[in-house]
Amino acid sequence: MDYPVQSKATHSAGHKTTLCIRIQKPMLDIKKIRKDFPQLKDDNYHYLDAAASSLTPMVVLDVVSDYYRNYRANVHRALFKEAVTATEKYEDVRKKIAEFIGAESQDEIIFTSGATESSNMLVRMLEESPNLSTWTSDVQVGGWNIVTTEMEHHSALVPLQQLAIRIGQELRYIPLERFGLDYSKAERLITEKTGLVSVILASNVTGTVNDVRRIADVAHKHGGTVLADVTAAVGHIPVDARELGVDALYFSGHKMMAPTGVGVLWVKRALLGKFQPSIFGGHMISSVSKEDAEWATIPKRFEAGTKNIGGVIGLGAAIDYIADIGIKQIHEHVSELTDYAIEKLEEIYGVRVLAEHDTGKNTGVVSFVCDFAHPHDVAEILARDRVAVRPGHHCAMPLHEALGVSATTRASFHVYNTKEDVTAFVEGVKKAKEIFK
Amino acid sequence: MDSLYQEHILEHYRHPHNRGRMEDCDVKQKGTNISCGDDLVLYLKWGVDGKLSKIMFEGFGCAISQSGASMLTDKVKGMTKKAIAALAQKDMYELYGTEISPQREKCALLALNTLKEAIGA
Repeated sequence: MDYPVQSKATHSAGHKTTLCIRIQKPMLDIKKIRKDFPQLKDDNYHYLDAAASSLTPMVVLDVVSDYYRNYRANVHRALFKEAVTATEKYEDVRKKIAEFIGAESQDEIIFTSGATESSNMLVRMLEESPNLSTWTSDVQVGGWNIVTTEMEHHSALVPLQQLAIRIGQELRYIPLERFGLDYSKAERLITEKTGLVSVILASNVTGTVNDVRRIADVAHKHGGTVLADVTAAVGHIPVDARELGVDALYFSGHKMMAPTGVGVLWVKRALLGKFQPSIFGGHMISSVSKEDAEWATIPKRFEAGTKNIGGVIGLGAAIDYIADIGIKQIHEHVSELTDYAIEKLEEIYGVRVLAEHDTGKNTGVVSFVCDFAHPHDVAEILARDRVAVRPGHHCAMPLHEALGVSATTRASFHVYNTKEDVTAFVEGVKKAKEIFK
Repeated sequence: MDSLYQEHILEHYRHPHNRGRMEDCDVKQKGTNISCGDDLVLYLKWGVDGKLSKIMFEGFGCAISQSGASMLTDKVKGMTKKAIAALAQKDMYELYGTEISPQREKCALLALNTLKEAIGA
């Protein structure tokens, strides 16, 4: 059995009530699930890098392959059978994503190449859409500030920073409080002068799931627009746009078992209707003359060029795969591994875990530093024993600065990981200690 | 023992040579590997004979970058600017005496690249 049956009491009171049920009846057959992932055929290989990119199950690879082998055509317009099939499958995924994130309508779903493109597009559209009374038209004269958090991934942060520089406005940071956010400071930082608030749902370094709703409510009270980067959360916890109370959110497919190069931007219809497109080209127009162009309907006007059709179709299969296992079951399993990893790491003298310890609120990420070795050396020792972890700042340098370290080693889990993976990982850290002490 | 972390590399990492600050240096040069968080400061002092009379380093980083600084500072003491400018990647790798993977190239070359910047090479 892959389930650690103890170790709950010290870390997460919230798990105690379900523990006895889990011992009697494991919800998931992880050994069976592992067979879905071709990269895991060797039991001595331990892939603990889901937060960078999750593995892709065979069912996803199969549907992508099916597209490339059997109905390889561009979507929309053409009348031949393969193009019709490709269009249907592509648009079906749009519906599926709308349901997956609780969007009002599939027209609110824009396919992108990933969270980075989504974030950049979103910021540009906010900046360049003159119909937004709370934003651009007033921003130069109204002195609207932008509020974000110290926890952001660079893909969310850098576009915001550049926006703040371009419009000459202040970018404020909600600080960390231990491994979460300081909500009382957030409430003071967000004021009637705040035009935009951007907050990460789950940290890709500490794993912490933030109370985005709380921040969104404060921002909305002051008339601000709220964006959420949910990339590290999708596939790990339920993500519902309405429950989060945000105006826009985005994520990549590749961290939720879909292929790389595909992502989603969701924008609430009321806001999306006011946006000017920020990327121009084919497909996004209704007509083009020598002088100007008119835009296609929403969401087409936001999808210039040929998108990653195979990737979108793969993303649809990934959503089905995750739904079949059950997102709550995935999170429960990952939480147990996270709990076990934190407990075992903290038994090693000289290791400091920089991760959310309440693992019910952690998306399966355990970052740590060792006083006996640099994160790169720890990761190198682990890599040589086929334990795949990641050293560095994980595209979150301000967060590392707030944590008081320049780099960490990060292990991150998904549903295909086992207690044996954690054991191999912890043994590797002990080995690093032996070598470098 | 792992081949990358050979005893002489670990020895230089645990007990680095020429480590410390030099107040009366002629040149102070900072070098970093942003992505790794490796950090290095080199202090150089030239003799009247045009040779490097003293070199020290301070820094924080992985065993590869820090042991490299220790080994390189040993090697270049007494060398001329011209001789230092002629040092190449292979000379650095010879000091390690083991294969350096492309992923660790930046770590392994941090000291040499910083030194070359220090002499304007």
